[in-house]
Amino acid sequence: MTGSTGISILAAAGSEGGGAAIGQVIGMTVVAVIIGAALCWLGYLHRARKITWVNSVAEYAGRKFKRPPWVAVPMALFIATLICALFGFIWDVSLHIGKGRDPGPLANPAHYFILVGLFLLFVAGCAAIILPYEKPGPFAVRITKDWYAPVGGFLMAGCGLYALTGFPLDDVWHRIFGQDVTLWGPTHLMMIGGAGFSTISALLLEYEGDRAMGADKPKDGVFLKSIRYLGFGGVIIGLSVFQIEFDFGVPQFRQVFEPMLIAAAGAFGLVAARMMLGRFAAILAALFAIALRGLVALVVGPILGSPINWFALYLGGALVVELVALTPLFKRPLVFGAVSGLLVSTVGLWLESFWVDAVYHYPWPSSLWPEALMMAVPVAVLTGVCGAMFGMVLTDQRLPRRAIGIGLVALTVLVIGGATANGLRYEVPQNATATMTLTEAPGSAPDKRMVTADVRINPPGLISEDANWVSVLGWQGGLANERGIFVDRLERLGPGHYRSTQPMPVYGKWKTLLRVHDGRIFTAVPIFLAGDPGIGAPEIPAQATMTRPFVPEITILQRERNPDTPMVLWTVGGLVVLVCTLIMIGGLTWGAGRINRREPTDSKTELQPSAQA
Amino acid sequence: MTTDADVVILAHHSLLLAIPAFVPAFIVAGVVAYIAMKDRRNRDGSHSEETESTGQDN
Repeated sequence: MTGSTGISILAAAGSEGGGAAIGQVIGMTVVAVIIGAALCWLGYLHRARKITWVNSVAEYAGRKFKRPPWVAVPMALFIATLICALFGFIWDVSLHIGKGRDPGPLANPAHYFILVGLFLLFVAGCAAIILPYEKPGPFAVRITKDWYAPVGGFLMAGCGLYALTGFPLDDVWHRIFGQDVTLWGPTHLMMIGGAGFSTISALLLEYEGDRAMGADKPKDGVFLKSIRYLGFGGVIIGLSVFQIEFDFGVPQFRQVFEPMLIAAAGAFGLVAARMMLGRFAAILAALFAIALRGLVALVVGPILGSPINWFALYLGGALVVELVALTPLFKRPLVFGAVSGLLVSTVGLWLESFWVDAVYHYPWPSSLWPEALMMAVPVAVLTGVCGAMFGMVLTDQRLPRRAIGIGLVALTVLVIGGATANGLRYEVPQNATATMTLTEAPGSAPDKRMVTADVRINPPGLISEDANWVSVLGWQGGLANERGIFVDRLERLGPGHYRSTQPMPVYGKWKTLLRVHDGRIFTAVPIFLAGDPGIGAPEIPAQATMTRPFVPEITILQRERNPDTPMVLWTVGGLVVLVCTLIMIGGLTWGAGRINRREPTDSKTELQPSAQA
Repeated sequence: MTTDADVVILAHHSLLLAIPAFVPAFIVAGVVAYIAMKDRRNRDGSHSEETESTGQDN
């Protein structure tokens, strides 16, 4: 199967006039090899001290940004490249929602932004490793006798490598399992997670630069100060990448994940920001995150004509973190982190819910809260504690004993794993059907059929009054047709009886379905699915009256998946990705611990804070 | 299953697309790791006065 897919890909390239596309791939490979080789050669010449201009440029950047050269260059590169990757990522998701899977290797321009962004992320980390001639700060890792590299550089390059590892694994994954058109494919999570977590490495590198300069460090101007707030805004955005499907209104997993993910990201980023940058830092970090996400959303949606996305504001969480920081709890970082996490996941989420209810396709019903809190509170308390430990590292406070620190990180990972396992559980009702009566919408063009539906769910008592959603989703309809996405939450007329509030598309390439989510029930009924010869799927037509059974939503939304793959392969694949992820988290934990614990070995650094438990 | 030669499963092609990015990255990471390992091995033999600074802190 794998072999034949390999052959058919070449055939596909040939059959769709892809000779040019293959040419482009080869061209791009050649260009990339030249750039890569040039960078390596530069690195070698610089390390061998055969050229001086790289050092001069780096020192100029260092003076300009008031940082050591090995911080200034990587950070400038890092900020640019991560914004590039963020834009590519959001645009890519929106294109997949609006158009479906990629018709060919180079048909999706967003991939270039992601690929270049992640590659330069790795290059930024390497720059921090390669640039310093002298030992970069007291925590540096020895490579050879006269080559030391900052911990943050290693972590940044490591995050980049982790993200890039996602690419080959993704390809293997798709060949085994078929394409899964969801963000939450394990390999997709590696790519976005690597970029997301790299923001933590950047802040650690920045801190190392601070320590290396010691008392000589000039004061930052307004621009450089705001970059620091942007850094924490970046952490919040970086940890929010897992929510993107909710942001676009096409969540393929249960709604309880949304508040949990918001609380987890918010507690970590906001607590650390407040600890490091002082008063109003949490609010400013949230505002910077809003500005950046807003800008990207504006470019992707209104300007490029792709589906619109919203984003969590984190202002409620920021407010409660600021308030907790005014109490004496602030002097005890771990308690501060835990209490902040608790409040972010309760009061913060409640405040956030007003925003979600106002702009998101799916507001949070009251029935969501019990389970949402059960998942969000423990997770956010622990990510709040981790955020506090991160803040302690960044503010020269001694971390708790090593076993406690590592234990807390491990516990956080376990609790997130447990909450995720719970979130992934869903039920598809047996023997339930939906009877739909379609009415042609007046004035719809003959080749663009639009209908409204009257829906009766049997048995009528299946869905409670306060369901998460009973809605019609249409997607992949093509950007020219309403951006290729359609979401209509149905109006409830009585038990099991619902009605459209606007005409839905049932033509062309659209995939239109009735989605039902009520607590653990998570299911769907196809209304109209365009034929897809590429995967051998026939069209499912929208008949005037039809009764269809409820099925697992994944069979409709991800028709590309290969259903015949044995479960064992899925488990093995998941485990490979899990191991890579644990290595990355372990690496970040190690780096933060090293920066915090290592006794300074050079005379420049003074002022090690006294040990405290 | 598809039988038509013109209509095939189109994977992401991400391997093809990503080779220029991830292969050099792995090579660089490997080379740096190799240099560091070699240096450490040499040092163990020749007893340098430098302080130990492997990955693990103490």
